[in-house]
Amino acid sequence: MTANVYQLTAKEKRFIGWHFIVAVAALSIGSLFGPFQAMEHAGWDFYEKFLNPLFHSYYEGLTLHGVLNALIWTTFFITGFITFLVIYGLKRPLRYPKLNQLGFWLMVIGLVIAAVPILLNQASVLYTFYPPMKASPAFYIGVTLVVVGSWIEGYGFYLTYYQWRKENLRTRTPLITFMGLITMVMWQIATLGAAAELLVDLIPWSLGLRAGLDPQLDRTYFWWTGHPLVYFWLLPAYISWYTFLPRQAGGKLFSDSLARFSFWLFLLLSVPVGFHHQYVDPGVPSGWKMVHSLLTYSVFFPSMLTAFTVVASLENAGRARGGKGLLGWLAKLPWNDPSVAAQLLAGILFFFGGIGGLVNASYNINLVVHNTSWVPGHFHLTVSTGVTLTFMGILYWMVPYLTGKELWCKKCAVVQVWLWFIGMTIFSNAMHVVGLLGAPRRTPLGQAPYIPEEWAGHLLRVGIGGVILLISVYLFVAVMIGSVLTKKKLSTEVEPPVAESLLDPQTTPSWLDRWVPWLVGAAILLIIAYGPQLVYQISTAQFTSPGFRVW
Amino acid sequence: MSKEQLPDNGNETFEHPKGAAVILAIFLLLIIILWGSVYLIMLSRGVTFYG
Repeated sequence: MTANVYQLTAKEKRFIGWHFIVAVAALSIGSLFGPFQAMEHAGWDFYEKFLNPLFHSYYEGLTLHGVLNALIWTTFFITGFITFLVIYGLKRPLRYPKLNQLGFWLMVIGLVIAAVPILLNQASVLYTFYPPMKASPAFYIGVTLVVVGSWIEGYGFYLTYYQWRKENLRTRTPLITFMGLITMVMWQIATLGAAAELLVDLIPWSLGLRAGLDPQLDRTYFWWTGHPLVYFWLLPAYISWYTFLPRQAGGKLFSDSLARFSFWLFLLLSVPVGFHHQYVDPGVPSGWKMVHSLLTYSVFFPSMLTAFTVVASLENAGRARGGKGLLGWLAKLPWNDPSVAAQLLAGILFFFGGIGGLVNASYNINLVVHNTSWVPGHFHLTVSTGVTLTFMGILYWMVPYLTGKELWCKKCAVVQVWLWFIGMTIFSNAMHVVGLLGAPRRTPLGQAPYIPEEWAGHLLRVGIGGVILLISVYLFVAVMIGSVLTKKKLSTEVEPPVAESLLDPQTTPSWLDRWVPWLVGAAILLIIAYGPQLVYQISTAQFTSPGFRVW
Repeated sequence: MSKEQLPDNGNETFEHPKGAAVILAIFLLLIIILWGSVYLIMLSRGVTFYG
C-alpha cells in the first residue's frame, strides 16, 4: 500500500458490492426476456408454449426486459460505481454514509414495489411508460422511489465532495470523481422530466385522483429524461474508457483537459435534445424539432473528442507494448484480459451505434427508421453493448478488487465477451436491416400475418443472435457467482487501474474545474430549448385522455 | 515517427497519435457512407416538391 492510495474499508466495499449484486441480479432476469423476444421474431414463441401462465405476454416480457436492464441494472451499477469513484478519487470516506445507505435501500424498496405489478402483468407499459397506457400505481410509485433513492445517493456524493473542496481549494478535482459527479448532476437534471410526469400526472392519474391526462405533454416530459438517460448510461462507460482502460492496456490518458472539457459539454448538451424523439408528434412545432435536432448534432462534438482521446490513449498503450506502424499497436493491446477485451469490443460496436444515432437525430431521414426495429437495433449497440459490455468489463476487475478473490474462470470471461460481440453483431445488424425494410418495433413479429418473405432470413438472424447473447449473459453471471463463491484468495490486493494523465492534471486550466459557470450554462440552455414549448404545452394541455390497458 | 517533448513534464515523450487519427478518419468515412445510404433509401421512397 502506498501512502497516496486510499484503501476502501471492508464496509465500503460491501456497500458498493450490494449495488452490483442487485444490478447483476436484475440483468440476469431481465436478459432472459430479450432472447425470448428475439426468438419470437424468428418464429420460436416460448411465451405461448412454455412461459404461460407464469409470464403472460410478449409485452410483459418486453417490460421486464426494459425495466430490469435499462433502468435497474444501469442505475444500481452506476450509483455503486460512482460511490467507488468518489471515495477512491477523493481518498476519503463518504461524508454521510447513512444518507447513501438510505438512498440505496430506497432504490431497493422501489425496485420491489415496481416489480410486483410487472410480474402480475399489471404494468406491461414498457419502460418508457407510454401513457395513455395505464399501469398499476405501484409501478409508477416504485420507479419514482428508485429515482429518488438515486438522487439521495447523489446528495451524499455532493456533500462528500463539498467537504473535500473546502480542504483542497487549489487542487484539481481527481478526474474519476469529477466525471462521476458530472454524471450524477446530469442525471438529476435529466430526471426532472420523469419526476414531473410521474408525480404530477401518472401517479395521481393511476390512483384515480385525476380523470385524465394529456399524452402529448407526458411524452414531452418523458423525453426530457429519455434521451439524457442514454448519457447517464454512457458517461460511466466513458469514465472507464478515459480513466481505467488506458492503464489496463498499459498506457496513459492522452489528455486530462480534453476529458474534462468533453464531460462539461455532455452536461450542457445531452439534456436539451428530447424533441428528436418526437419528430412525428403533431403537437410539437417543426421549428422546435429542428432546434433539438441541431443540439443533438452538437453532442457529436464531445463524442468525437471522447473517441479521439480514448483511441489516442490506447495507441499510447499499444506503442508502449511494442506496437509499430499506423495500426499495428492494436494487436499489441491485451486482448486476453477479459476486462480490456470487453471494453475494446464494446467500443468497436459503439462506433456503429454512434453512426445509427446520427441517422436517428436527422430530422429528415429519421422518418425512414422511426418506430422500426432499426431503433432497438441501434440501442442494443449503445446501451446493450457500449454500456453493458463495458460494465461487465469493469466488474471483471472490480469484483476481485471488492472480494479479494481471483476472477473465476478467466478464459470463460474472455469467451463471454467475444460471444457478446458476435451475438450482438448478428442480432443488431439484422434488426437494423429489417427495420430499413419496414419492420415495426415493439411488435411480436412472429404473430404478425403481414411478414413478407424477404424479412424471414433477417428475423432468423435476430433469433440466432438472441440465443448467442443468452449464452453470453449467463456465462457472465456464472463468472460473477463463481468469483464471489471461489475460495481462491488473491495474494496481493487488486489496485484499481486508474490511469495517469500524460500531463500533470494540475496543469489543466482552472476553468475546467469550476462548477458554477457550467451549471448556469446548462440551465440557460434548457430554458431556451424547452421553456417556450413547455409553457405552451402546459397552458394548452387537455387532460382528457382516459387510461387504456391494451395487453 | 516523430517524437515531441511535452512542455510541462519534460521527462515524458509521446508520439503523435497518427493511428487514432486514421481510425477516426475511417469512422468519418463510414458515417458518410452509412448515413448516405439511409438518405438514398429515403429518396427512393419518393420526394415531395413544394413551390
